Amino acid sequence: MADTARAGTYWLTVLVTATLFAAPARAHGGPGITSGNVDTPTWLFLMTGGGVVAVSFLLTSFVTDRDLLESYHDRRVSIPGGAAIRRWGGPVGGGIGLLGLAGVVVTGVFGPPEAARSFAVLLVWVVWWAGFTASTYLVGNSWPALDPFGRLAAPLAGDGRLSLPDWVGRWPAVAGLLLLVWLEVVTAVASNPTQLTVVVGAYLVATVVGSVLLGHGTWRRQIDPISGVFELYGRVAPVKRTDDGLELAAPGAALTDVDADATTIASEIGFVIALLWVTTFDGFVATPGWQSIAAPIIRAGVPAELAYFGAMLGGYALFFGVYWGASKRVRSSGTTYRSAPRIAAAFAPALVPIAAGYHFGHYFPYFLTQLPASVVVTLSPLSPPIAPPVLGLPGWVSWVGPVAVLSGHLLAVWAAHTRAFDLFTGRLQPIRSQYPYVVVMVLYTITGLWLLAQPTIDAPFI
Amino acid sequence: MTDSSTTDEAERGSTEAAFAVDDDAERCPYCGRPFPTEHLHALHLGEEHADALTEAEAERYAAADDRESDELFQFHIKVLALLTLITFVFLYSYTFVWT
Repeated sequence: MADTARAGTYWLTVLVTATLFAAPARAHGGPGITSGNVDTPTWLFLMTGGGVVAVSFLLTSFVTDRDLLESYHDRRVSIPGGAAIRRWGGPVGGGIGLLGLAGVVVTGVFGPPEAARSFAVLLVWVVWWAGFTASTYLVGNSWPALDPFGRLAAPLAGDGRLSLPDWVGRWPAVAGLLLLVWLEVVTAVASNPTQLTVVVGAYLVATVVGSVLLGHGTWRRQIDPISGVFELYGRVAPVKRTDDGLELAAPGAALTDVDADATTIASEIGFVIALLWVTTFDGFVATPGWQSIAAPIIRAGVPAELAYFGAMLGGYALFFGVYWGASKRVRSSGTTYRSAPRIAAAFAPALVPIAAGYHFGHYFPYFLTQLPASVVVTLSPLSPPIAPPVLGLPGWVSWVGPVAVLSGHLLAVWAAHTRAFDLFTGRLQPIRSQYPYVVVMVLYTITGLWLLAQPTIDAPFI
Repeated sequence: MTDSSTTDEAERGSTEAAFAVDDDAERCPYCGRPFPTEHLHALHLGEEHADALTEAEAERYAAADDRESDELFQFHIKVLALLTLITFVFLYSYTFVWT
């Protein structure tokens, strides 16, 4: 079986490579990057993407050795010096985090108002949201060490004066995440240092108030969307924190450790789906497709912000519904008595690499472009040069989008496969159980690549 | 929520929460997990409770495992056929339809 596994991996690599080189598509990057058209006909580009995911599923069906799969996700290698890194990481990371927060507030208020010269804007969007976020899924989640908000709130927070009813679960974090992304789209918070500082300040106040009222643990676990996002992304990464050190795990191996009982099952699934949806929403509102959907609604007198809010909620409900429906279908495709919510919770973390793939595809070119500007502006945050340097990107960067999206999907298929063997019996039941998810996944890949292939416009009407 | 081979009451309790099941379902005598088919139950016995099996159960597992291997082989033949088909569809699309 190990031989077939190796052969499977080999053919998978060959196929992916062949596919990617055969379908030269220019993806759009983050804000400020011009987009090109797809060179292959779009239908072929989309069909290829969907095909790669379907084929990867078919190939994983050759890996049916339970011991092999178990050792894949149980294997951990401890990192030498991990304890020292952990010991020093706290104070050093905390210092950097606090310094960064202070820098954002000071330059947001007193610094130059232009986005391209503002330390606050560059630090938050380029260094933190594009760069740091990528490090949480590529390397490991270091946000607990860095988090300046939690650090400022910690001395004030006790065990909490209020307690939330159980049904609240993680829904506040879902609402917070949707709200933050909605704000990012409809306001100028992505480019206006003053608005950005207001949002950062509000988030700090919310953290302090929330931690004091509810206790720091509850705040971080159930309400704070940012720690939640980094915690999920950290599960994709190879470096894990243990009680007193660091260890390495195979990519995606930690996605099978599910913590669905931490709050309520539906809200834990809801948070993963929210993460997946907001990465898609970001791309969706910058397409001509959205413009033509939104135009009649806005002409009818609906405020644009409300239309975006409606699209945000509607899309989220759609994603959640489709995933829930697919999880119900698993009961019949895999012939199992396992309850649908449990199945949905077990496989939800496997979706995180997809979100990571979209994030990387979307922000990596933007990060590269703005990196020199970030460095130069950091050196003199209060009086930066008139036009900070930006990097012109070489042509291969246009590959990053499709490659990242497909890699995310492939890792997701693999993580779900290993999880299925953990959950179901025999060798065929785990494979058959995945049919509904594979259908959804192929459709989703096609949607995602279609978004990448669209020309990017500025989010319209706002 | 993973399966374990313990038989204590707590495990039974959490098993109940994880399954939506009719009352007359066949259940594993060791952990109480319900199974929709006899075949899956037999496989489960060997996978999770290999050390505790009676001789009859061990035979059931061996037979079920044989059947599973046969079915998996047939399944893989179908997968290979499908992979071949997909390869040719793409080959055709890229060489003839696109250009």
